[in-house]
Amino acid sequence: MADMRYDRGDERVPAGESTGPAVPKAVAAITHIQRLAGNAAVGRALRPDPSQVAQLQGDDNNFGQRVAISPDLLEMLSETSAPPADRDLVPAVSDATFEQYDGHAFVQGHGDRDAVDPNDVRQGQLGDCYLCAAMIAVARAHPERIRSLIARQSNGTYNVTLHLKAGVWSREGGAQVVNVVPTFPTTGDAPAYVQQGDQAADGPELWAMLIEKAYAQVKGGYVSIADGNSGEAAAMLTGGRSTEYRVASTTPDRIAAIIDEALTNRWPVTCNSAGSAKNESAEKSEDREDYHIVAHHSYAPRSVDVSAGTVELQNPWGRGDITLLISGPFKRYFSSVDVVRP
Amino acid sequence: MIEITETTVWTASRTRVAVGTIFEREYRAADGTTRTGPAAPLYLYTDQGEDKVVGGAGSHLTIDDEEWEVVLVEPRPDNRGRVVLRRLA
Repeated sequence: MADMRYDRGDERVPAGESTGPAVPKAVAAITHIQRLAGNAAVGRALRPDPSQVAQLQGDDNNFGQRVAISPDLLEMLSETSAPPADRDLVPAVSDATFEQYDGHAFVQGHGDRDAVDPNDVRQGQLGDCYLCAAMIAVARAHPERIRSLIARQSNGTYNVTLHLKAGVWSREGGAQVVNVVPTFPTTGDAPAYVQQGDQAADGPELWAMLIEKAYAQVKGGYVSIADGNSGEAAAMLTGGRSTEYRVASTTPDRIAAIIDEALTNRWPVTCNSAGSAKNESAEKSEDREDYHIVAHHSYAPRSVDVSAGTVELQNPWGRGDITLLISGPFKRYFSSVDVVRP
Repeated sequence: MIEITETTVWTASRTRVAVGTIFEREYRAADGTTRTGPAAPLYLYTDQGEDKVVGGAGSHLTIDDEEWEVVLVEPRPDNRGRVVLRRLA
């Protein structure tokens, strides 16, 4: 099957064809907003912030500019026949507006061995820790794979390749190229969801934001990617196959060996904590918190000490990393280890 | 008002506020009393370091030199609860 590129909206176009449609559609949508904003008949259905309208009206090409789109405007857009995909991607944080980020897919930060670095990923206000942990794991194991996923287009958009399966239990599927416009939900001055990576003189690093948005586009919105499987997410980024090891039925020595083998062979590996039980005792909850473990959360191992039986876990929050005794708190509070092999 | 989902992180101007696992426990309210109810560890990360506050309804915390009130802490299944914060004037 030929690779397909998902463009704005639901249509597909062959990957090799022109990248043209995305920007004209965005321009058309914003021109539509301008028309609505200037139309008295719109009445109370549309109450855009005057500064936003002025910003839109004063913007000739609408693409090289930073554009704020309020929820009201997005609601109006949902009634048009040719809305931009962003209108479907809003949710989760109600006051977020889509803002354009003029940056680079990759920026090599100070001390980074590669432009793609595990520290580039910091989760935001979306429950997609599994995806963030997967991005960290792949960035650690194969930064070149991340680089190969993203290509900037001449019109300023990005093509992001995801290895999607036909279904959760399916082995069918293949690489799909998703065209992404670099506008992202923003609250205040920061991205609402996964954060920018390193900062270049002329703009921020965007790769994690682009992958997150590409996946949200495929799944129908940001809310749709809250919660997921870290192994499947890492497989989506590499094209490999995920194997899940259940912590409860695996000995601590074996868990250490699995993580060690994965890190040594550069196989992306993630670890997932169990959710808190409905009637869990306060003592157990406090014990977990004393180890700084977050329930129902994904982490990416930085290292494992097989002889000491400890694992160092990177928290996708960007802070809050932990080192745990595998036979102790890890065994008590973690549910699975996911490894993606080629 | 800011709503932060359990296990996620809100970025204020200079501070990232992460919400850990919500459960029923004792916490200190702004009036100095000890209350029992749903509360969350709020991890405040800045360039200077990090702090942890256990926040439940009626407790206060300082974010970027501004005072905030915890309005609501609501546990939900699958650790997808939420914390609602309101900036005080």
